[in-house]
Amino acid sequence: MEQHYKEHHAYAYWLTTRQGIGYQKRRYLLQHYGTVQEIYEANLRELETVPLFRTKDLLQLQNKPGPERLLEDLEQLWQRGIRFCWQGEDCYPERLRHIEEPPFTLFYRGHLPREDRPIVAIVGGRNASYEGREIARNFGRQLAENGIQIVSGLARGIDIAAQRGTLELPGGQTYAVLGTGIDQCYPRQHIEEYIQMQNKGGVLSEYAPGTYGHPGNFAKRNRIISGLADGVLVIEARKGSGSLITASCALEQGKEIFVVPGSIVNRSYEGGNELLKSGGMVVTNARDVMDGLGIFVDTDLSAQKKKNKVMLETAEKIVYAMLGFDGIHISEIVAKTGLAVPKVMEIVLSLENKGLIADVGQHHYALKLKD
Amino acid sequence: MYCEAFCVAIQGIEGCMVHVEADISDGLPCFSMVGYLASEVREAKERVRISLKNSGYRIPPKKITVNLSPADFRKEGTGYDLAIAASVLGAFGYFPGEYLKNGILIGELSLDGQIKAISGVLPMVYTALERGYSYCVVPMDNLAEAQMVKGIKVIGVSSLAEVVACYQTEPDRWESSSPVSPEVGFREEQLDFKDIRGQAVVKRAVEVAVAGRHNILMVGPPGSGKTMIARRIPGIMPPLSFAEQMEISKIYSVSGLLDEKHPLVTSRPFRSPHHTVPQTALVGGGRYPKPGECSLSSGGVLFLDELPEFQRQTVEVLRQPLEEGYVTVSRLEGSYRYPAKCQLVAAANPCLCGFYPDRKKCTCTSAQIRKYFGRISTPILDRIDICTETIPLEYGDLDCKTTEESSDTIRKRVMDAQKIQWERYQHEPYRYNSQLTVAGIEQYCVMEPQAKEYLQDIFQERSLTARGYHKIIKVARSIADLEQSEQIRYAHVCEAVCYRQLSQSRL
Repeated sequence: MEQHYKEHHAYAYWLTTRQGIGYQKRRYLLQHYGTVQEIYEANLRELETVPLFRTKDLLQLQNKPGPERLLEDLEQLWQRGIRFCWQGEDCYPERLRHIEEPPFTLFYRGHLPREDRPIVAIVGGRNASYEGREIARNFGRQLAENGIQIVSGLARGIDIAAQRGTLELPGGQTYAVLGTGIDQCYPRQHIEEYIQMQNKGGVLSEYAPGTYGHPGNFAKRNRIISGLADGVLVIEARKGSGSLITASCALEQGKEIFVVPGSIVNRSYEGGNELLKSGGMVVTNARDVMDGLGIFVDTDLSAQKKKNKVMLETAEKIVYAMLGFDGIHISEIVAKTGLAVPKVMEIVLSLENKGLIADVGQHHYALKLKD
Repeated sequence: MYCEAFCVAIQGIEGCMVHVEADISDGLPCFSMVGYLASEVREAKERVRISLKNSGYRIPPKKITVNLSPADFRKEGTGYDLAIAASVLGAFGYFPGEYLKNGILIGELSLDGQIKAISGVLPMVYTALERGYSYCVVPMDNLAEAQMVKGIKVIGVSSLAEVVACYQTEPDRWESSSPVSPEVGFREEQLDFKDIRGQAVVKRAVEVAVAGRHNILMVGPPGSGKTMIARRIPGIMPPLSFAEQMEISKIYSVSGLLDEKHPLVTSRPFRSPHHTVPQTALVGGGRYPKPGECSLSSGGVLFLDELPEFQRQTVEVLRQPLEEGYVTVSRLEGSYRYPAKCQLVAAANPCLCGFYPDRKKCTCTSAQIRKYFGRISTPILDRIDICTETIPLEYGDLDCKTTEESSDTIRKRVMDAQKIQWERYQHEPYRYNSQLTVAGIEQYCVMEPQAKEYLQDIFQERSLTARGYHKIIKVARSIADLEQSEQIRYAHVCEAVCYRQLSQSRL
């Protein structure tokens, strides 16, 4: 039995690493032959008459390294921390089995999302404002505080902000679904989070290791993001944003859609507001998301936290009161308060140290969202 | 019949004595010149011969040989004409040859016997003084410049006939030419910091930068006053000492930038090369070495506007001058050293369109912004201690009635801070905080415990590099000096942290 299982594992790996054999062709093969082993062992001559397959596809399928060689490859991936699982195995996420075009295989580092805990996807624009990123970070953190796992795409802007928020928490679990091979970190700047996630959640991809980013792949992986989640939270999505693809996948898959509302004249919220019109749920805090998913928890924990009030000096209060979610330059603070430049610098740094404000660019400071 | 005259050659910005020897002997009439000459010096024989003839001196048909010694380095330029003519005249006995012994003659001849101005007169006269010569004969047009050197007799002449007339009496009895009263200084318009409205942070950053001689980078949207501020920086530097004026003037003299109206550079230079400037124009060099922009701005400000637009290699050649304070140009014939004690002031737009972080106006993607800043050479960024950002002006700033601080007030504070540094570093090879070595930082940068603790936190939290850490301490030292505080306090460190490298969080 063990042997049989291992062999199937290897054959699935073989099938998924055949270049050019996508969802359509794989489905045909599986329907035609039954199991991956049978595809592997089949004489492919008969496929020559099927118009779906081209010569180069057949060449790919005729390239059959022995099962030992395949297992060796898998062992090598294992050494690099890359795990592999396919549809026929028990570890394959249950939530993905029910979506349209489920990924045939999953490569992952870290581990796969836990089935018994709720999962929320947080997605949004890449060119998000500081305000939007703060909101995402806060949602990521607060949902994680309540034991919810966060899925996103490791992209710039909202995605990474939400995942950073989760990572801030010692027990936070967050998963990134990549549009590239599992061993690529795109964008490169997020390598730190990519590594952290391997201990606090996981990074997963349906593409074989070594696959480079291709625009279409990023849109396709969105169905996995929404597929893994119980609900999708959309923050700051412009019209035509990739996060709207995730939302429409979620709709097809019958998942909840949560939207952080925004002004109707702000184009960054255009896509989100559109979703609201078609039945998305308005959320303004993590509690709303949990209500929407039917999760109920004690509120005592969060109430206790609020007691930790920070004491501020008068000058600090004055500066704090001036700041908003758009970055303000120190010169402006100086002009409006009449304080000396060095004094203002001392104040902003001490406020930053206390975690009340953030540095959002050279000499620009903005408020941080309170937890 | 032999006669010797003296002239000065310029190497770098220093002078080097050249003996011009003329010999008249029997033989086939000819005029030959030897002594490793460039072609413009070789051509002097035609100029000399014809201008002597046109001035009314008959040259008997003899074999004339002129030697410029030492003969082992290349003579360039046209300043030798007058000395050659004088030595020939002396050899023919138009005046006693020994009259030439105690002085130098500089000037280019034209065919009609007029004497024309040349560049580099100031260091030449200065060299004559150093070598103990008692008089200099210079072109009338260079007189004002030559007169800037005190302690040597300077005679301005405009034609060959005048020179011969002078030599009818003994040079010891000559009178110096009457002083030309120049409009001293380059400062045509008084640029003052009080013209700048708002931008409190940048002004403060500039003050700190000048106090400790830190290189500074200003980032900001177009029209927010970066260039305006940069132009006013020389005005808040301490006035030049005479020795400094002399050194800078020598560089300008060699480059031919001094004239009758401005014989001496008295205010600190401000040079702003365009971003298409070639390497050699920036640091100096060329087939016949000339000082570059960073030497011309020695003692003042080298302003690189639109820093990301400069070619990477061009800017990177500034590394050595910025670190060592001089440029060495090596050639086959020898190497020349030009001072380059400039303060680097750079300006950059925050992105291609210039409006980042104002997302309402800026249309750049974050990749574009990163790419734009990636164009700035990292080695140069490493040498910039202070980064600051200007903000677009608002109407209120333009209209406001409050008076801003004048350059004089700021200069006073800067001078006090620099005085503290000179006293502190009197036993060190360096003079300013920006030049502190790691050992120097340990010795001279005493911090109060709170400041030290805070710096430690910052170091870990923001994952600073050792270089970044030292930069913060150096800048904090300058801030402390401005506040006349012996210890570096917590507030000083806070301020220094605000001026650190361009933060990555902007992206």
